[in-house]
Amino acid sequence: MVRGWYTGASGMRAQEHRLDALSNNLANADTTGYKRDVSVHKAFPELMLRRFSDDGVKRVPLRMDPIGQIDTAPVVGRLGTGVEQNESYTVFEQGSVKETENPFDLALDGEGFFVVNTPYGERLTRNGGFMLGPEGIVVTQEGYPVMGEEGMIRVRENNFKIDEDGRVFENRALPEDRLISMTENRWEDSQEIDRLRIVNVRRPRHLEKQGSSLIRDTWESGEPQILEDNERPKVLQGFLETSNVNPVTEMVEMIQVNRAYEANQRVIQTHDDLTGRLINDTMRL
Amino acid sequence: MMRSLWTGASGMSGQQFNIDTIANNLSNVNTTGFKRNRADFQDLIYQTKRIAGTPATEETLVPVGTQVGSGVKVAGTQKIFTQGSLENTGNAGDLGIVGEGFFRVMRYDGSYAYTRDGAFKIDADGQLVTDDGYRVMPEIILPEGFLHESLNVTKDGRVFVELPGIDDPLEVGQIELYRFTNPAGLQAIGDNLFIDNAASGEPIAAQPGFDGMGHLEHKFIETSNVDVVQEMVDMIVAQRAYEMNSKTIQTSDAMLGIAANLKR
Repeated sequence: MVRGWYTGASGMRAQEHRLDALSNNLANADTTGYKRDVSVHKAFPELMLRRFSDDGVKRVPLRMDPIGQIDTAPVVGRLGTGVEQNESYTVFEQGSVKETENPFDLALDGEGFFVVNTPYGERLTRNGGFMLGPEGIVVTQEGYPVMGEEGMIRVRENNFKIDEDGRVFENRALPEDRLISMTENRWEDSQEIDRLRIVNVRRPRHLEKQGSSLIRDTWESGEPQILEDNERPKVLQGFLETSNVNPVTEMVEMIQVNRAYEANQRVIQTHDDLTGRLINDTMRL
Repeated sequence: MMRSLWTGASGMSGQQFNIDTIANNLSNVNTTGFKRNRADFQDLIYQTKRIAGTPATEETLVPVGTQVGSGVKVAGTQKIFTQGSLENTGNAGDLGIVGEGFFRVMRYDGSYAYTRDGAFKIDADGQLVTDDGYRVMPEIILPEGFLHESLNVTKDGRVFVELPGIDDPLEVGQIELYRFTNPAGLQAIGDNLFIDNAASGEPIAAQPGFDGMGHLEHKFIETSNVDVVQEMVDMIVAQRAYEMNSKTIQTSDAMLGIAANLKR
């Protein structure tokens, strides 16, 4: 019926989508390794408006076409029909790192992901809050093994070190059949046992979040590739990456959403008023 | 209804849990052998509204999916087993562990529990017991009529007492320590006790000071490892995060009000 109603409604719905993304960001403001989502909108298809029942205007200047052509439906301009949500875009910006002094906490400084082995296949994560599983394997909070380049990483408490390149070292001089105390390890014979598998995909924009801090690669994003040299992010042992949600921008955006929603409501009400006038006032019998 | 209402609510309950954890840490700031907890969070499942790769036209595909998250959940609480500082008490029953390991005690039902709290007492039978009367395992039985001041525990866990009229100290027992592959997986059951489970792995026993165990300090107790400054900072973060999540709920509410006002 009245086009403005639907345009206004599309605006209101789009703002609701934005609030969904914002509220999820704020709920995860304190989640390790969380990356914020931004809701991106696009305009609905625009309409080309033409004026019909016109006397006609000349389509081309007379000197180029001496006979002259008459356009009986000249173009007035374009008309937008509203807005819709296009995508939710994950911003893989670096979050700040905080020190925890727990040797199983790892943070990545730079672009890239840890690989964890879930029953549904390998997944990527930025959440480096790992722990030691009962079998001595480094696992996530949910018990999924963290992958090195040669498989699962088997370490012993107080006998492993991870350098900035992600290489895992252990001291081979210590006896293998017992646990190690923090003070006795002198690192006489430090040997590399594995290197953390740190990967990235060609188009991180197309990665799919799965919840539980897990991220899945998709056909569009490309296969995860192990990062080398300059591309490889620094691994910080004893640190955690905080979420990259900025509360200030989120709050400002929330005000924006609220007001934009209100403005769109006004649009609908104004159209409603006008239609009401048309129905009730113009035709007064 | 609006998804953001529940998302905000999940954020608020998550932060409430965070505050609960911090409050427990702070209330145990003076508890012997207490290890602080840390609440870890993860994002909740995402609802996919449109899958990436859906055909858009005959030749092209939709390049990005539309996903919206539904909030936050508590992934778990983790005990942080760092060393607490040692406090000299001068009390003959007090033992502090420097380094790794737990004492083992027998609970009322005969099952074993593990503790870092070494403020032991001597009961009527001359046994070394915890504050709750649980016996230290393996049992340490002190002979009748021993001189109370003469009780001495070496760094490697041997217990000596002197009897009146005998010159040489008498060795009456050996305290053992226990370790776990994954101490963070131990289950806290209160009373400063932990019990082992599938996540922690089986207990591994050894003499204090050997085979990767910490050594004992007699007449010392281990204080809690709660860092008050860190807890305070965490509390500020939790409170503000709670506040911001309440704002999302308020905004959702205001927007629903606006929508309801469309119809006059």
